[in-house]
Amino acid sequence: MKNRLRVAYNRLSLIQRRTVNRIAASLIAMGLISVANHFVLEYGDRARALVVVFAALPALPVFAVLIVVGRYLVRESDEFIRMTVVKALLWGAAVTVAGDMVQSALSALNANFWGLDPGSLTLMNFDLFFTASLFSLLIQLRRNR
Amino acid sequence: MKNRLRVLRAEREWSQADLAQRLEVSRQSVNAIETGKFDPSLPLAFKLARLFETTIEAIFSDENGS
Repeated sequence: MKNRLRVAYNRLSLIQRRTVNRIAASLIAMGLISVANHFVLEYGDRARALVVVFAALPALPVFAVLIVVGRYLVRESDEFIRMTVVKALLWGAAVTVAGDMVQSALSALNANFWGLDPGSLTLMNFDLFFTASLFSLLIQLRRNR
Repeated sequence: MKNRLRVLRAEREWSQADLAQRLEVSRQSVNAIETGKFDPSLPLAFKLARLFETTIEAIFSDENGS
């Protein structure tokens, strides 16, 4: 598995590799911010200003990824790959909106979802969008092997 | 849109990867064009025509028209 990932990574063009690295860095930042958020909001000082700052922080990696993907799309010379990536992003957006609809329905019904508060599932929007986009991209590329 | 890409490529004994390298695109792009899943842009169509030393019309044809 590790070797297959390495082979796939080595097949990427320079600009694709750079984009993957930057997205990975943003995802790591997202994870660290989420963990820091949890500890600060759960156990730390709950001063209003701090809460607002920490609540807004997870948006930064999201913007970073959007900028990285946007720059990649501008620089990608292969029009088919460009189209495939845009399609994958649209699938990601569709799945995220659908996920939000489910979350809203669960909230309206005051239902618990595997013990999770439905409201907290919204925090996973970015992960859902990214995972759905990635799967869509892999499926499309596999169909054109 | 129909195309003769596979035939032209076979005549030169090029693999999809060879053609992709010459066009500076991914092999998936070549496969998608050959199977008719993707219609190339005009610049890429011109590039193909130049590579195969022919005209765009000799490579691509409209399924409804001539």
